[in-house]
Amino acid sequence: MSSPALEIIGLHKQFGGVAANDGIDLILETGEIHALIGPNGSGKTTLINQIMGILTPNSGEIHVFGQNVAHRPIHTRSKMGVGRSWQIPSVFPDLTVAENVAFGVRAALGLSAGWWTKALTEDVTDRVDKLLGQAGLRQVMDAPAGDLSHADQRKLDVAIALSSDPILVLLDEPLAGLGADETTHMLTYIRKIRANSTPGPKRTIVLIEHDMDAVFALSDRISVLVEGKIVATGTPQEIGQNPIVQHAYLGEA
Amino acid sequence: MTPTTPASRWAIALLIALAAAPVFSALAGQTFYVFLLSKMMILALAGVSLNWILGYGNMPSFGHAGFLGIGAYSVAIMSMRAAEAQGGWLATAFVQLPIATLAAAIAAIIIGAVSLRTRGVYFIMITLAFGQMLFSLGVALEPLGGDDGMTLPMYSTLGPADLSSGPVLYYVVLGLLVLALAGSHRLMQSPFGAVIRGAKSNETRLEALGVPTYRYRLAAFALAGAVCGLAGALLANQGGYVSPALAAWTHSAELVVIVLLGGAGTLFGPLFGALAVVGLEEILSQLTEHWRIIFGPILILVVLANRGGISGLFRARTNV
Amino acid sequence: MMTLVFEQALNGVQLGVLLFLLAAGLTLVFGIMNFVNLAHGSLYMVGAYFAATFIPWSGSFIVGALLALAATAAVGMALEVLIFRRLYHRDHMDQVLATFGLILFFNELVLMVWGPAGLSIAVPSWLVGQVNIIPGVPYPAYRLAVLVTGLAAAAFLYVLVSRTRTGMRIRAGASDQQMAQALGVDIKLLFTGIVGLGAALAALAGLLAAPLRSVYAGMGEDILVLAFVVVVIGGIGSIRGAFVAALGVGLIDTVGRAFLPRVLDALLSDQIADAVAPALSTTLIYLTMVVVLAIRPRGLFPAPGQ
Ligand SMILES: Nc1ncnc2c1ncn2[C@@H]1O[C@H](COP(=O)(O)OP(=O)(O)OP(=O)(O)O)[C@@H](O)[C@H]1O
Ligand SMILES: [Mg+2]
Repeated sequence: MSSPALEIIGLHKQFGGVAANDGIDLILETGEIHALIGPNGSGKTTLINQIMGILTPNSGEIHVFGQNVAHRPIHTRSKMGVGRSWQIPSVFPDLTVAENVAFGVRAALGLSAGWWTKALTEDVTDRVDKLLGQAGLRQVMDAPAGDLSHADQRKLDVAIALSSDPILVLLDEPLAGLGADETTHMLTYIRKIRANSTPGPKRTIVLIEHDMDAVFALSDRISVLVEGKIVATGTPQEIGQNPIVQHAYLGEA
Repeated sequence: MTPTTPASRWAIALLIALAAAPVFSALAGQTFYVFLLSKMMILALAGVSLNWILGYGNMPSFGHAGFLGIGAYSVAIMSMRAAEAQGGWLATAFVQLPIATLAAAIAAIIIGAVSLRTRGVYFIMITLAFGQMLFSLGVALEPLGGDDGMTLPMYSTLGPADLSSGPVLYYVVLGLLVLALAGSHRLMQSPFGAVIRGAKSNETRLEALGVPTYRYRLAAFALAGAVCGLAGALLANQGGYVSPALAAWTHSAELVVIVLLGGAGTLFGPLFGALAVVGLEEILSQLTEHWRIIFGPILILVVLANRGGISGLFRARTNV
Repeated sequence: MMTLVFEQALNGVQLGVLLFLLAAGLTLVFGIMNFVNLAHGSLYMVGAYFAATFIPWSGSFIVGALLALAATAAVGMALEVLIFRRLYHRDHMDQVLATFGLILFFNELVLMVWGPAGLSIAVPSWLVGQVNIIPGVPYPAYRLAVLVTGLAAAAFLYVLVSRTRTGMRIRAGASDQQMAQALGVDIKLLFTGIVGLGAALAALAGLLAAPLRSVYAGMGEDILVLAFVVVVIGGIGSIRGAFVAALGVGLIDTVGRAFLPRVLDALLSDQIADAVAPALSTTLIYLTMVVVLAIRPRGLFPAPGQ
């Protein structure tokens, strides 16, 4: 039997007096969209920061496709197929939109960053073009990323996350700050991400999102995080009916 | 920057003027200007190298003059040996300049490997400390004149000529400067340059895309040190003299001034910066021996105006 | 031998307290306003020049010194109001460039006002001579007085920052400027005051050092780098770190210069020892800093949230 896409065991992360993640266990099967919901400050971003390697856990294990990565540097995790987007769009503001996605494309093609070639060779531009087309950013590809609107920066942020062709994609509130039309576009985009047009395994997605309609529409399973602990995991239907969840989180919605 | 912006048009005009300058100064009998412009271009070359790390990358080195010192002392040591042997292969520029460059590169790899573990102000300060270490080493090197430094026993030879000749040195420096600027343009458009520029604003994101940024930053630091070492080797020949003051932190600060005044992270910024610094010094010191009392406040005003240095002024003009 | 070790250790502590006086102002301004002030060494120099002027004029070491402290604090506060406060939110390199401009300005200014020859301050008559700290170990009285004054200033600073309302405001300013503002602290005035305090401490270091060294244009640059080393080893923003690091750097530098050649002589052949010793002893503190930062990239006592 193959290993799950992601397996987290007893993960603990402390910030001073705050246990941002307090003994988290979680298993994601390959190909599922797994939503992480929970109130502000419940530790969702902290969790994916540790999966990506941006934060080091105080204790616990993180296995990606069967390998414990808890103490590996960020860039090797990317090489293993982990990629993420940022809650606050995190682009390279001085670089053009095309340059923004070219880093990941080059890394995915196994190219190291040479001194003397041009940055955008043909094989790179093909994929850059495709990524930006998918994200709906082709017409602004030569603009500096810092000049884009918030919605376009959000799209670019997700496109950058996909540029390294990850098979475990961590999306941190990809719908935040988008208008109605843009939300619809992003939902289609996320479905396309899972379908994965490039050859290779199906993508597994961790989706952090406050927009409950989107969460229930997109996800296969949902985990609810409250004060650093997972209080419930299940299908959208199960979660929708769970009394603890309704009390702790959905109650006010 | 593409070669058609106003700043680059001015810069290219300036380079052409520099190519013609020795002819005119010879006609006018003012060879002093050849000497002065050589120095300006050597500082511009050092500035180009510092710009890679300080301007394009997020590596605000405050010990860059240490590499000038290494380059210059490498030449001094080789020229001492060559003088003892009355010439020989060790005397030629073709040997001296590459060895000086290599020595600085090695030092830069060691210094960079440690310094790049730190960030921000700590990086400024640790590079400052390394620079002072090199300065103190120069002071402690009694056989090379210690505190006072030493006169070069012989200049780097270049075929039948040597670099003591003003015009020969001038055109060597100009050629290397043009090469460095062309290389700078090419480098910063390459994937390597993109990584350096990207790491400036968002290193974590680059790492998350599978780019091991430390390696690339270290490579950039080493390259910058190497080219600055080359500038140091030329500076030793330009002055005919080496001393620890070359590596002093105040000299590093001058290099920083050149880059920031010209416009950090712009292709021709260091050229404008070096011209401004050397030019202002020349003009102001004709007004008063206390020229620094004017130059200092000029620097402050430049910072307060916050227009991105001289290159920024060109940009501001085109926006109008 | 024992006496020599003792004497060198005292010299080390004495250099340490001078470095602390300089580093305290730097680290406060660094830690609270996030401002890199290269011109701090200029305040050290200006303080020494003021003292060299006011002490003969007033005829009293104490009165002259106090006047010099006040005058330097005023210079510092003027700089804060005119220049520094416009740069707090700017890039560190911009701050470096502007304050480097100030260094050039002040060095030239003292040359114009006081001439190129440099000045000296005489040891006050009541501190001439030696005292026996422990029987049989004479030590220059003035050096001892420097040591005591420096430690007293450090104690004053410690009490000020950790035990008083002003100190509470300073710490509030350091940890959260918005919160400090909400507490009704006038941030602008507070920052001006902090720079003034730092300037006075720098001037104190400058005038205390003057009878031991001399007063010259550019004297600030040599010691400034050491003060930066202290700040960085201690951890930017940490007064306690600066104190520990200052004593450490003072001791390592003094004791290293005095004894390293002997140690190397004993360990290595004469020829190698002679060649290595001067280089090693002058670079010892920089090596210390490099090692500390390699192990702890944010210094010994990193301030939280920095
Ligand atoms: N770098 C940090 N240093 C200190 N505390 C932190 C840090 N990052 C997060 N925290 C704290 O950890 C807790 C969890 O934060 P986290 O950002 O993971 O929450 P979240 O679930 O993503 O919330 P939101 O929905 O608002 O994004 C919060 O109390 C937060 O203040
Ligand atoms: Mg979050």
